[in-house]
Amino acid sequence: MLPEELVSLMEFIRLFDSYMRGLTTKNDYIELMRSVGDIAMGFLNYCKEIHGDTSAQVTLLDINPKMLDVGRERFNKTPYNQTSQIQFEIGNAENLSTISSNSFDVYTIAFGIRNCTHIDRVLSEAYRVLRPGGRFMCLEFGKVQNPIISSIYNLYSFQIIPVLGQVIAADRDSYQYLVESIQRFPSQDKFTEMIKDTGFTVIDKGWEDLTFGISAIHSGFKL
Amino acid sequence: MEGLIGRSSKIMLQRIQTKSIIKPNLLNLRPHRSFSYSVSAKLINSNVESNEQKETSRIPLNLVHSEILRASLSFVPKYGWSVESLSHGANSLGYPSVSHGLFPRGGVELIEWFLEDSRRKMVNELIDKMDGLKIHQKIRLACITRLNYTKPYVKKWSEALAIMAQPNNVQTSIEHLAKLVDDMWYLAGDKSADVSNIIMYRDVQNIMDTFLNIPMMNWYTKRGSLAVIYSSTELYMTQDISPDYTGTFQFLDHRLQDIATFGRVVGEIDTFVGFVTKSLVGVLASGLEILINKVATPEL
Repeated sequence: MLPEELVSLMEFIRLFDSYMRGLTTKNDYIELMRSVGDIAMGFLNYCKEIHGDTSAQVTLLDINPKMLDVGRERFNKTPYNQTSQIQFEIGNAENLSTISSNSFDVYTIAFGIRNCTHIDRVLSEAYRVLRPGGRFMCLEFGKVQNPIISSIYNLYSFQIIPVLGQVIAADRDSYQYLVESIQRFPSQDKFTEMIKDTGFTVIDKGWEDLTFGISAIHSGFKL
Repeated sequence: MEGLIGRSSKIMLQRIQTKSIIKPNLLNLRPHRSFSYSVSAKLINSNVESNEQKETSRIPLNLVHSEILRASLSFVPKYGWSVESLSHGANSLGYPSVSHGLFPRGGVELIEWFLEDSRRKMVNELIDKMDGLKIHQKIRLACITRLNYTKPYVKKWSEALAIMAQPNNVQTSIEHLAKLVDDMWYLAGDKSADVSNIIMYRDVQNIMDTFLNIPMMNWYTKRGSLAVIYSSTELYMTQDISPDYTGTFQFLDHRLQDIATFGRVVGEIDTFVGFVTKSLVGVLASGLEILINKVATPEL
């Protein structure tokens, strides 16, 4: 995981806490492509510790069974192992055929949506699967507005990251792909337009920039 | 101050400046304004009733917000003006509790909606009841009607005042007060079409005869003084334990009398304006004191 991914993820979890504040009833939560489950675990811990609620259900979904295994291993070490609060499912975010409509309160996808081929299909599946009033949250890389920081960031992305990938993981290509996929992903306002076009209700600006726009948290409601 | 000038006052200022108009065209003023109020209120009310039977997903988008806010109000006595009330309100309509995120600023949005809604309700209720009353009676009726809407939430109203006094919320709370007072004076506005319409205090127990020579200052002082009266009465109400809030209404009457008295005694406009400003600041300060005392002493 890139350092900025880590930082953004922690920021996402912190903001997620403020979004999740006031949870009162049983909440169903689906998380995509992050079956490593860090956000899911944070969510369950939050429900248990702050609200004393152990009825929250989390579904972790990924297209790659190996990622799910990693997630299962992580959760086996936690007290949630024995409960039915966590479910693991294999599925394609563009076509959630195993999941019925209007069945989840929260849908999150962190650093996964840029890897999908058809982003609009992912968004419409997210819309279908959420209950009315449910929240869609997406943490993803974005475009930096500030030109100075943008040039430094581009330099870092294209020159340093692939080299680091080669040196540390002996896998330059993956990191090259990573940087190119970040570049290809639409900017924050275009992505917010796509979210609105799917039918989500977007409040205020619709996204929150983290570290000058390197990452952004997008949010929409199904109403 | 520009932003706080309501529609009625902008039209009135234009009338004063042109000087040639003695009979203002009230056909343009009253029906247009009352129409917009009653139509928007009726739209909201009728949609509420017709949608009670439908599923939550089929309520039109722009009404979902007000639906959730309206439902949240019933939870305010228990949970206060907070995100908890909003999520319980959303739950009561069948939405998941995450829907409180529709109101990113939290409890403040509930308070602001409540102020807006109460103001509209007051106008709708009183628009037909103002005939045959003197102006000071109209003002009194408007204040009492508006205070009645705060009654169900009076235990938590000091919390609302504390939230509204926060720096990022002060501007909107002052705007709401200004709009409220503007509407009250609009409702109390004399229907006769002569110049004395501009000089409204003439009817109100002969107060402020000395201010008649500067009509524009009149506009500000009328609203300023009513803002002071109304906000101090509301503050009194938060700690009034008399049965049926008779104490509050007595307080209101005394304040209305005070304005009449001071109007006669204070001979200069700038002194009076200064008095009004200081009173407003004094009201806010005493509000803060009451809140501090409430925090320091246990709730009875």
